[in-house]
Amino acid sequence: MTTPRFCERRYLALWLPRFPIELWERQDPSLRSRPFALTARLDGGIRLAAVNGMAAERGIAPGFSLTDARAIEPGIVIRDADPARDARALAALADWCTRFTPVVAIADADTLMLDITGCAHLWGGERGLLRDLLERLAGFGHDGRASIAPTPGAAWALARFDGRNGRIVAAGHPASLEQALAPLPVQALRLDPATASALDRVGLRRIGDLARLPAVPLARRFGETVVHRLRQARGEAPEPLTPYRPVPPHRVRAVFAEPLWRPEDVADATRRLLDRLCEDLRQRREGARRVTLDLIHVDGRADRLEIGTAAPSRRPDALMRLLAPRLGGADPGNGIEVMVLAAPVAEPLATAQAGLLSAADGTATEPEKLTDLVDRLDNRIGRVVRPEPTTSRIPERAVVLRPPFARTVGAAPSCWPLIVPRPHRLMIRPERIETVAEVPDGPPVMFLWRGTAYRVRVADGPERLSPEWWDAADDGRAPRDYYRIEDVAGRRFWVFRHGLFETGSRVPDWYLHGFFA
Amino acid sequence: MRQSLPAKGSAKAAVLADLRRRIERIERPVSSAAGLVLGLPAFDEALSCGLPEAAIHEVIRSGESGDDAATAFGAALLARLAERRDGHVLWLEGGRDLYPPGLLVYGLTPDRLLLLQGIRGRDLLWALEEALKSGALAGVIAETDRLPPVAGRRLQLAAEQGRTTGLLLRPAPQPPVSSALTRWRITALDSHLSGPGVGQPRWRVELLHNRGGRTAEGIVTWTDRGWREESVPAWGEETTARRTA
Repeated sequence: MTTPRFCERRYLALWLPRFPIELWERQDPSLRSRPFALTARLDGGIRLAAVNGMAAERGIAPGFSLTDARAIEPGIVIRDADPARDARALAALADWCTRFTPVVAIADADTLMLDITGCAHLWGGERGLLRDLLERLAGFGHDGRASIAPTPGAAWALARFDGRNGRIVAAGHPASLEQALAPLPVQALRLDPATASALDRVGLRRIGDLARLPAVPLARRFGETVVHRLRQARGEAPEPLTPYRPVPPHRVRAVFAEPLWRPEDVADATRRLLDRLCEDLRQRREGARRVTLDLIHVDGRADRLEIGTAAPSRRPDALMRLLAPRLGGADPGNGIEVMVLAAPVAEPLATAQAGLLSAADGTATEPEKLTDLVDRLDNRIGRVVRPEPTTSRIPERAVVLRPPFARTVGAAPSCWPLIVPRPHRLMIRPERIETVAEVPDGPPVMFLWRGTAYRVRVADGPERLSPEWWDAADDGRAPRDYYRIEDVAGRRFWVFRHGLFETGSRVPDWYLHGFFA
Repeated sequence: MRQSLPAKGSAKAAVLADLRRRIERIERPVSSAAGLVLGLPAFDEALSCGLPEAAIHEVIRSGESGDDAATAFGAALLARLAERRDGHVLWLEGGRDLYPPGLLVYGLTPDRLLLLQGIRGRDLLWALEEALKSGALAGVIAETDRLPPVAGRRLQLAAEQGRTTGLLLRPAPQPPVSSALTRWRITALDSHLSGPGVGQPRWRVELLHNRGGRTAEGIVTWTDRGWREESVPAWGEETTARRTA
C-alpha cells in the first residue's frame, strides 16, 4: 500500500442511530416512558423497524415480527414507520447544521456529513464544535454519535463503530488515522452485507487485517469496492461531498453570543450582513439576482427568507428595502443565534457601470430607480413583465410576456402588423356570439353578445388566420376569418368566424375576440 | 403666470405676495415648467401650459358596453409621455386582456411598456403610489374602480414627489370628484366613411374637469400621423380671446 496522501480537509460525521424513534418521541413525549416500536412491511410480514429504549430493555429488537413483540410486551405502542417523513426531518436537520458549516451532505438515511474545514475556530477548536453539536442535539431530544477525521470515510466509520462517542483523529498524522481505523470491523467501510460476510468467512474481520494485504489480489477476490472504500477511508482516493443545498459562492454569516429576539436588532444585523455581502460582490464584480437570509433559532428552527431582483444589484440599501418587509413577517421566537446571508444567484456587474449607476451623493440614477421599483413590485405583488413580439400570426401567440430586463429573444416589434389593425383589448377566451348575416359567407349585420344586440354599420375583412400546422396545439384546428366591425353607435369590435363555410354541413360559429377604440 | 408685487420693504406687500403665490400654488400645483402639449388646440388652450406632468389625471370610460376608447386615449397619452421623457411607462391592469400589438398604432411600443397584470384594490393603490413616487417612469396608468378620497390625495402627492404623470382609467358612471387635476371622458363615435370598410378611430373627447382652468370638448380622429382635432367647439374663439389677454 502506498503512503496515505492527506489533504487538509476535516470532516465531521454525525450518526443518528435512533432518529425515527426520537422524532415520534419529540412529538409525543409520553412515548418515552412506554415500550414503543415502529413497524414496516418487510419480507412479506409486518416487522419492527425500530424500537425505543423501554422496548429494548424488554428484549425486543428491530427485525422482530409484530406478533413476537406483542407476545413479549402486550402493551407495546406501535406506529407505522414513515421513511419520507424521516427524510424530511433529516433534511431540516441538515439545514440547521449549516450553522456550523455551509457544506452539509446527507450521507445516508441516518447520517449527516459536514465539511468543517476552517470552521472550528468559532467554537474554540474541533472539540468545542463537536461538544456544542452533540449538546444541542441532546437538547432537541436526539442521540447523536459524531466523529471528526481527515476523510469522510474514516469519520463515518468512527462515528458508527468507535465505542467512544466524539472521537477526533488529529490532522496531519497518517499513522494515527491508520491506528484509529485498524480495530474497526470491515462493515465500517460501508460495504454491502454480502461482501462483508465474504470477508468474514476468510477471517478478515478488521480494517487492520485488510490494510496489510496487497490491493490487487484483494480487489480481484472481493471486488473493487472493498479496495476503493479502504482507499477513501485512508485518504488515498478522493471522496467529494455533495452538499444537501448548493453552497452559494457569496455567503456571509454572523453568530450571536446573545440571541437576537428584538425585530430591530435582527434588521440591524441584516443590514450589516448586507454590507459585507455587497462588498464581497463588489470585489468579484458581480451583482445579486437572488438573496436568501437564513435565520437559525435557538430552538433549532431555521427560517429562510428569499428575495429576487430584476437586475443584478449590490447596493445594500436597495436590497435592504426588499428584505425589510420579509423580516417583518419573521418571528424571532426564542431568539436567533445565527444568520446566514447569501446570494445563490449572481451575475456579472461591471465596476464601472456600478460607479456610473450610483451617483456620488448616493442618490439612485434613472435605470437604478427603475430596477428598484420593479424589484419592490415583484417582491410584494407579483411579476412585472414586458411584452415582447413573436413571429406568430395567431393573435394570442403574437406576444409573450417576459421579465422586464431579460435580453430580447423574440422578434422585433416590426413583426406586429401595423397595416392590419389589431385590437387593444383581446379577450383571453373568445366569446361565442349569435349572428345574423345577409349572405352565408359574409360578415354579420347584427350580433348578440352577453344579451345585448349590436347592429353592424360597416365591416372590414375577412383576414384569414390559418392555424400554424407546425405547432402541435394547432393540429386539426380550423382557420379563422377575422372581421373588424363597427356598430351604429361607433363601437368597434373584432369578431371571427371559426371554420370555413364550405367544409361540412355545420354552420360555423362566430366569436367576439377583441375591442378597438 | 401672475406677477408678484414689487417688494418695497412693506410687510403688507410681502404678505400679499406670499399669499398670492400660495393661492396660485393651490389653484394649479404645477411649476411654470410647461406640461405635455397635446397637439389638440381646444384642449391645449384650456390647459394653457399643457397637461401638467407631475399630477394625476382621470380618464373616464363612456359606460357603453364594448366602448373602450378611453384605453386608447390613455395609451396615446402614455406614448407621448414615454417619448418626451425617453423612459418607460407602467400599465397596472385589472385584468389580463390588454393587447400590446393593438397599442402600437397609438405610438406605444412594447420596448417602453411594462405591465403588471391582474392587480386590484389595495395592491393596486400601493403599486401605483410606489411607481409614482419612484420617479423611475415616464408615466403610469392604472385601471382603478374604487378610489377613496384619501388615496386620491396621496397619489397626487406621490406624483408630485416623483415628478411622474399618473393616469387613472376609471369606469363609468362618473365617479365623485377626486383630487385629480383633470378629468376626461372619451366616447367612441362612428368613423367617417371616406372609403370602403371601417374608417379611422373617432372619439368625442370631453375635458370635464380642469382644476384652475376651463373645461373643453372636441372630436378627435386618430389618423396615420397621430390625433387630429376635427372641429373647434363653438365657444372656442371667445375663450381664446380671453386667454391671450
